[in-house]
Amino acid sequence: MTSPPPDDLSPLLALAREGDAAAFSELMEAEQPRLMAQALAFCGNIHLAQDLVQETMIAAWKSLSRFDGSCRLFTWLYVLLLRQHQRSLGWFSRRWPLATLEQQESAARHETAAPEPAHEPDAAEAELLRAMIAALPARHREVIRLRFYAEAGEAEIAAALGISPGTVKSRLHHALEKLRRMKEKVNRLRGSAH
Amino acid sequence: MSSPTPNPDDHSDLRDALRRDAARIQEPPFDAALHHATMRRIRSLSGEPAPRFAFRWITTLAASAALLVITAIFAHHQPARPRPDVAAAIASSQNAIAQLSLEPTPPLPAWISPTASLLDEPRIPE
Repeated sequence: MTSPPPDDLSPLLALAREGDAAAFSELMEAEQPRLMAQALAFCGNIHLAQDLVQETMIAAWKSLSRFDGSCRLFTWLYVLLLRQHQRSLGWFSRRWPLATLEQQESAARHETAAPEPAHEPDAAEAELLRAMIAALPARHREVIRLRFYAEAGEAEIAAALGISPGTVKSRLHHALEKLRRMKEKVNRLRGSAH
Repeated sequence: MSSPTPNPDDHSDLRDALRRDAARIQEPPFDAALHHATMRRIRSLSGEPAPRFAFRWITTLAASAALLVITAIFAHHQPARPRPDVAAAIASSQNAIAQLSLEPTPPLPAWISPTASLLDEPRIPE
């Protein structure tokens, strides 16, 4: 499901900003499945994902006046979702030690609400990738998720996060570099285990 | 310290892996129960400011009333000070004044004020 273009949303947005809950409800109906999919992808638990989506919608209602239309509504909501998730994790969201990656990987395998079929060859690699993203510092995790999972452009990410496009580019580069190093380390650990 | 210049060709494997992973995420169907529960919470939130505003006023008024009552009670229960005897005080002051020397001060000697004699009434020379 794709979001309608901003022009189509503007009347609803204007009403919602004035406190029209019905207009806000209509806006959220269109975005909820995508938000839920993303929340499930990084929560791995349906109940946590539901809580996260609910808190995101409430946060969106409270701060809708701050949405200026410089990015897609979904991108803005996705930033709120990421921030809510980060808040729910608390202090530990700042950085996960690499040692926990394997534990997360195995935990994710058990907790994923919509588990991938076991015969899919790259399912384990995908799980590892998600665990590695979770291990990134919050500011790097944010740009990776926005760029690849919310399919936002660099300029759009910059607008949504309130930072410069250059900073987005730099964070993206550092995040990818960290992911590459983590992957190398995991490969080494796996090699030494076998 | 200069930051490395990002090269879009770097990490192409990782970029592909991330895109593949993103494509694997499937959208669940619209969760009506979740949506309605959330909207109920939002509507209750948007209805909150008025009672909260009234509550604030009620609290302020109650606090003010309590303060007034406490002040009144305190004033009522304060022990009465002994009143000074006003008449006796006045009489004593009057006596003290009466006892003061009211003799006029002697006039200044002529040598202090050479013009003092001019103030005297003119005398017709005999």
